[in-house]
Order: sequence, then C-alpha cells, then structure tokens
Amino acid sequence: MDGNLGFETIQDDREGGRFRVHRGVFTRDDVLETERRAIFDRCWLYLAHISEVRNPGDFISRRVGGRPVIFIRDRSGKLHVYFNSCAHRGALVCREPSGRKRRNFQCPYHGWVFSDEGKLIDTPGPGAYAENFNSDGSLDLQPVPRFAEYRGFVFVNFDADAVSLEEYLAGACEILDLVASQGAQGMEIQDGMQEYSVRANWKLLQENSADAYHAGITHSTYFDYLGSRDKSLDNFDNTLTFGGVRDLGNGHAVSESQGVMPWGRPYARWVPGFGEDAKAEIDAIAREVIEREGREKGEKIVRGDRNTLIFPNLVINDIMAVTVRTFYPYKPDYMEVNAWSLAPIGESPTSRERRSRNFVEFLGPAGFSTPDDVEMLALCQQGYAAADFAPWNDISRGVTKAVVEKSDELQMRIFWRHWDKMLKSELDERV
Amino acid sequence: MSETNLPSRQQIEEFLFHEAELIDDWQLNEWAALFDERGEYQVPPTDLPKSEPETSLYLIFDDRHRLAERAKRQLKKTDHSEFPRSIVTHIISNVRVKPGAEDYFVVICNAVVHRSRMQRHDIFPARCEYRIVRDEDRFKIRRKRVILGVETLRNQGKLSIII
Repeated sequence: MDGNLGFETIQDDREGGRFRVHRGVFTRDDVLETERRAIFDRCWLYLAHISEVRNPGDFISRRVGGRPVIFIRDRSGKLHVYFNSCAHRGALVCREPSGRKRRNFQCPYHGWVFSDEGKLIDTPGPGAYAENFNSDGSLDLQPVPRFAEYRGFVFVNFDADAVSLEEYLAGACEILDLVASQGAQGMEIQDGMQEYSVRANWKLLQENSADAYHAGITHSTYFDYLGSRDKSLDNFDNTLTFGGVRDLGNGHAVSESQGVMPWGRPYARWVPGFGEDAKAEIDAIAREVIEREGREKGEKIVRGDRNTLIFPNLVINDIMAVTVRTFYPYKPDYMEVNAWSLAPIGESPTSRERRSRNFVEFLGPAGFSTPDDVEMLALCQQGYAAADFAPWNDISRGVTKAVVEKSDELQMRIFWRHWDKMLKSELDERV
Repeated sequence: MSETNLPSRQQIEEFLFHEAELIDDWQLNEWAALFDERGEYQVPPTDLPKSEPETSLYLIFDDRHRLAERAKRQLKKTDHSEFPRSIVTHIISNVRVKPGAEDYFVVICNAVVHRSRMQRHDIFPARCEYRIVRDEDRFKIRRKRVILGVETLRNQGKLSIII
C-alpha cells in the first residue's frame, strides 16, 4: 500500500518468498492517526470479562480504544457500557477502577447525578434549567455505539454499522469456546490485574505474543529455570519444529500444538515441579473435562497450548495458565498493557494456588519472561530510529513452506495483510 | 516470637542494610542465601496490595527454589532485561520490629529503590514486610513481601530487579 501515507508499508512477494514491513509503520504519527480511524474505530475491541460485573451494581471503569468507559450491571441486572464523561463539562464521573454501586454516579465537579443506567437524574440547584432540558437524552452518559458478549468475553465497537461480534470473531470463536469450556461452571477473571507499559509500537506486542521463533533465544533463562526444577525439559525440541499456525479470518490467528510444550499446565499436564501430591487432582481435572466435552474437544482444551491473536489488540494465551492481554497505543512508541488471569469458577484452592504460581513463573511484568519481551520490543523501537537507512522488517520465515510450523511467522503475515487492507480501505475512502 | 526476645532495631537495621548492599552490588546468590529453607519472596499485584498469593494473581510468588533461580537468572548475560545491568540503589527507612508467630518475628520497613539503565531512571517505592527467624547467631528471612507503593507499573514498565 502507498495511498496517502506516501510510502510503501508492506511488501508481500509470494513468488519471491519474501515478506517485509516498513519500519515507518512503527514510528510515524500519521500512521497512528490513520490506525485510530481505520482500525480502533472499526474493530471490536476487548473491554472486560463478564465475571468482572457478576452482581447487580458491579462496575468497572477503564479505557478502551483510548476512551474512558464504564461497564456496569445495573440494579435490575441489565448491562450497560457508557462513556465516563459528564454531560455538563466532561469530567470523569467515576474515578474508581471497580466497585459496586448502591445508588448513582455523581460528577465530582458540579454534582450532576446519573443513575446506574446512565440517565441524568439530578442537577444541583433548582429552577436553573428549562423543563424539557434533557428530553432528547443528550445529557445522559452517552452509551458506546455497540457492545456484545461472546462466551463471557465482552467487546465494544465504536462503529454503529459494524458486523456482529460473532461474524467479526469468525474462526476465533472456536478458540474462545475452548477456553470458556475449561471450567464446568464457567470462567472468571482472577483477582489481581497486571497494568504495565512497553516503550514500543503496539503492533510489536501483537507480533511478539505468538512468536514461537523467539522463545529459545529471548527466553533461554526461562528454559534454564524449567531445567533446574525437574526433568520436563529433557525431551523438548526447543527449535519448535512442530505444531502449526491457523488463519482464523479477519486478521485473527492461532499458533498451536498439543502436549509437547515442556511447562506444566495446572489443568492437565502434571510436571514433577507440581509435586507428587498434585498428580491425582490434575488428572481428575483432565478427566472431568474430557468426560464433559468429549475426547477430541476435551483433549484440545486440557492439553493444547494455544497463543491466539484476535485482531487488532487482544491476546489469549492458553499456555502455563490462561492470560487475557490487551493493549493500546497512546503514542507511536508507547503502549499501555492490561493483563489478567482467566480461571475456572469453583476451582479448588489447591488448583487455584498451583495456577497462581504457574502463571507468574513465565508471564507478567515480573515473571521470568515478560520483562525480556518488554526489553526486546523497546530495543526494536530504538533501532527504528535508523529506519531512513535500514527501512525493512523481515517476516518471511516459512513463507515458501508447504507445511507451516509453530515457529514460522505466518500468524504475523496474517495480521499484517489484514492491517494493510484496513488502512488501505480507510485511505481510499478519504480520497 | 514474643516481645521480650525481639532483636533491637539497630541489629535489624544492620541486617536490612546488609541485604540492600548485596542487591545493589549484584551479589544476588548471596542475597538468596539470606533466606531460610522455607524462604519465600512475594510481590502482590498493584491493584490489590492486601491480597494473598494463593487466591490473587501476584506479580512474584517465589518459593525457595524459584527465588534462588531468580537470582541466578539475573546474573546471566541472557537475562536481557538486566543486561547491561542496572545501577540499583536501595534506601531503607521507617524500620520497625514486631512480635510474630511460631519461631519468627516481623520486620516492617519502607524502601525506595532507584534503577538506572539505558537512559531511563525508574523509582520503586515499597513497604517491605519480613518474617525473620534466628539461625544460631544469624538472621534468616522466612518470607519477604514487597508491597509496591505505586498504583500501576505504567511508569516502570516491568519489575526486573530485586526490591
């Protein structure tokens, strides 16, 4: 594409076996501005998990696609998503990240009061406004154009004309089904949120989150740790020449394998590091899932390792535990990241503790791996200062292979082709 | 451990200053050796500083083996987030010694840890809660819990040093 950006963003040479991305897409303000319109204002963006607003009155406030929103289950049990901005002068009406509303939101600036449904119900000082002042509802907290849930995952869309969430998720529905089916009573976000940042362009984290090729090098110290703990590393092929990558449609992709990764999974793959006592419980968890969901799907649920990229900025990695990770660019070279642990409702205390330990051995801003990812992305971003003279990223790995393995870069090409198509259609519309 | 058998604040401060010096000097295996055989190192999530690690997702939930491996990892060139190594400076203050339970007593202090590396300067304020036992004439750490005095890790991006 060149369009109005004035430079070639990707080179997709299938015959020549070469795929390249221009480094300007990570550094330029005009690219980010275009992405905001073409991608973040068009795509379904992950907001929250339904378990975060389990009871009437439960709410969370957070930024999605850069905009402050409130997600609330009102006192009658109905769900709402509205913008967290007072109709009067625009202040945030809710400053707490989460809680339970017994009554209303009151703006801290002039005291306008909004019900849990987002309706304006009081303005302090009688007789100052016309009687039909809010007859059109324009002084209520404004609802987001669209929101929808798929198997507990709640998304918003700022485009009122967008396709349905299910149509958008396409093949990714299958992955969300697998994750949502782990717990017999459903899934919940575990307490404790990871809020960090990376001084790099947001697209680098989408690339990194399913990049099996980097694992053996960037995360060699994590594999050293696994080796120190037990024998689970002995038969592991760390060149990752197994598994595969699937195109899930609309820019989504999964990198997957079954039963071959060396780490423990608290729901089916016992490793000696869990201790002998844990074996019976872990085997029982696996048996329950397989009996409930059938052998084929059950095996996928409990033994499959899946790094899933949902376009544009949601990662669901079902590896040593399940992490839900989303991020948003506030500048071309800065993104904020939110991540959570997703766990079965009603999990036993011993299994929950095993999950908690296992999650942070690798994942999170103080784990044995995520800090190194944060470092690598920042190093890439710093290198792009030389983009005028060293302009191209190479993403050709596996491009000529008939059978693509987990360590190939197909999932990145899927992302980039879709990204490029969306930017191009936005720029074409503007011409 | 009861009130009467508590060490003096000065004795404890000597121990905490020694620990801080080991971390600042990157003698991390020696730091890990300060923990007793049941030692644990923990950092709660920034949004739930008063939670417990068995139920909430901590940032760090290390048993004795993992904290020793954390120390070893940080000394490797392949610990990319700490190569080249940060300049680390601990300031320890507000030290208090309190009775505990079983064979341990409790020490609480504040720490401000500065980290400088690759043109960035990060600050980690923290309240540290220790369970400490006596091992002959030495102190050993049974548990160190670091409650970060930050709302999120947006400024720092990650926690790749020992607090």
